[in-house]
Amino acid sequence: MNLKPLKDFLFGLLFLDLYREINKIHRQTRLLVELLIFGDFLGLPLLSTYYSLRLLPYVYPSLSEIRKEAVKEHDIFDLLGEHHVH
Amino acid sequence: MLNTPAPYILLGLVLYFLTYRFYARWVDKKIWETDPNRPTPSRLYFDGVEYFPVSKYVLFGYQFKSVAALGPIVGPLTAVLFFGWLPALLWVIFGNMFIGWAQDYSAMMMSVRNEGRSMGPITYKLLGDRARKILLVYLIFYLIIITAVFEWVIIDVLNRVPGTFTATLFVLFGGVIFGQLIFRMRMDVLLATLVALLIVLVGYFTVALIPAAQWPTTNFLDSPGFFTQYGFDPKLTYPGTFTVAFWLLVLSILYYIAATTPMPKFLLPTVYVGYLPSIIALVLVLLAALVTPITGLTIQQQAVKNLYVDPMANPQGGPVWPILFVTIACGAISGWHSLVSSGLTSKQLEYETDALPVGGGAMFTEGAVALSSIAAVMVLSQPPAGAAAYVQGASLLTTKMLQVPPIYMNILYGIFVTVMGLITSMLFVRVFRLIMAELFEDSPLGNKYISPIVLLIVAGFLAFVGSWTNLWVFFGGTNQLLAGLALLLIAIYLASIKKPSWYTLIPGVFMAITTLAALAWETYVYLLYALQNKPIGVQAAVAKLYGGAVVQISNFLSAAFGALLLVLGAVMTYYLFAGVARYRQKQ
Repeated sequence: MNLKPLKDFLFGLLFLDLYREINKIHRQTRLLVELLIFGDFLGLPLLSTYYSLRLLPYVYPSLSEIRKEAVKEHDIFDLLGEHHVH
Repeated sequence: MLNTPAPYILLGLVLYFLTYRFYARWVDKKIWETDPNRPTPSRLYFDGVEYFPVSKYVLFGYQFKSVAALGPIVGPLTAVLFFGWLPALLWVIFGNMFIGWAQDYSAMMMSVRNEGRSMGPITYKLLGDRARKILLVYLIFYLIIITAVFEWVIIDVLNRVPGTFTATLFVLFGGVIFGQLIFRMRMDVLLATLVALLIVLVGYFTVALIPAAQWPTTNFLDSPGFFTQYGFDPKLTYPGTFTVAFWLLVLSILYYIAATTPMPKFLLPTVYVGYLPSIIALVLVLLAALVTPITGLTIQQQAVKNLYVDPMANPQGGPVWPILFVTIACGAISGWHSLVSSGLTSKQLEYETDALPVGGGAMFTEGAVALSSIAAVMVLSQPPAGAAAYVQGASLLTTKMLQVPPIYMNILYGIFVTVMGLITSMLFVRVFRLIMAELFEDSPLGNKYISPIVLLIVAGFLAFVGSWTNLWVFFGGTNQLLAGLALLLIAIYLASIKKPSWYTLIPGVFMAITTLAALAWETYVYLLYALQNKPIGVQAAVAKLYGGAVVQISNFLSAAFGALLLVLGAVMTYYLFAGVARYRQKQ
């Protein structure tokens, strides 16, 4: 008997909220660090440090993704959908 | 057999299945032409946080949790008490078959085809900034009303089902502990769940087994003499009493904490833990309704009561059209679902073809919850007013099925109604804060610590002096109008891409007209009572305690809310009708 659909259903019912929230906190923290260290590459007037230049080769592949996340516009209606209000 | 709820509930379930199998699939294939190979936003814009594909089963579970709360319980039971079980049953079945699923599914598809955008940006794109702002102001009033209504629903159950408060405290405590274990101590989620469940069970059995824990007793802050002096029943809840003021204060503190603390600290884990006993309660009552021919519980309620109630004789009734269609919002159709479908679920849809089982399927499942609520009231010969009727009916159904002492089921359903009400109301206050911050960015009203206080004072006043059933109609009206607006917006979108739009346009026009009529009616009733300085229903208690002026002010306030909602709704409807005409002309 295939129990995967049932397991998936229970995961969605109980855990998807938590999973999403943990990812969100993780992203916010990561973005903060990235902005502090690599803000100058995204247009923020920060001076490049020795460390940021040393780390740059590792971050370079995801730089455009970081920029996208940092400047993404968020609409209030996106937040409203996250709340089960009825 | 026909004198039990089972065949009617079964009929509803069969009709839902047939609608899903034929009509919904036809719309999916012929109008939206869903294609599993067309990339969805979750795959196009994958970021692992907002956009990430998950299986349809995961998303179905999430969507069901998001749409099925207290709404599909309270609305149907109120309608049964007003109009009889047959009109309520017919609206829950046919409303869902032709309108409910269509809105949830289509809002999701519209968002999927618009890069996962939610209703606000799509409204902005199709109708402009003013329409989007009006929608936000409209939501502010919606939230004030629904908070007042839910405060009253919770207070009524806390007051009339002794022990519920103690058990609910254990659930909240379990939530806080769960949050700490997960976010602070990084414990395994299953282990943390077991710890939380243990706390919930300790609370449940403490209340069920120890009579002293069934605290506080009904109207514990008011003396029995107070009630008999005015000819009131001391077993009921009356606005304006010390007990109601006490519960309001407790709720306000909880709401304020929920609105101002970070989500992972309180609200998120509480929602999770609170939902655990609720799932059990929901499944049990539906099963119990289906086995009524075996348990022997028969229908005690009239099939059809009055289809028109004179507002001066019974202010909580009114004409079956439009009042029935707004009394039952969730369960038949609910506007808030369009925000969930478009704002969140659409961003995680793996394939376009999953939209129907997720959006449509979850709505039909919510319909099943509404049917079970109707069944719970059908078997009561003398149901009490308000959500206590559900507690009593659901306890009766499940007690007969499980053959356990009534106290166990009574407490379970008391916790269910209270916790579901609490969870959703805490979210109301939080959402209110977010919208106020968006609308009043540079004013103190937008401050995260001030805006919840504004809501709590206004809603608290309405709950303290008001009649919840009348406010419920306002809530239903605003929710249903939101649904009408969403359906019209979908029709505009379909017209803009040159697709047939009748299947959302006709229900959209029906919902818009019906709900505007209901809002107008309810405003008229409030105004009538305010002008004649008469209390509505249980407001008589407030009039006797504090004088007629307080009641009059509250009724004028309610009438003003109604008038504002009516004007905002009418303006928004005008925008949408003009939009539909414009895009159809282009088509």
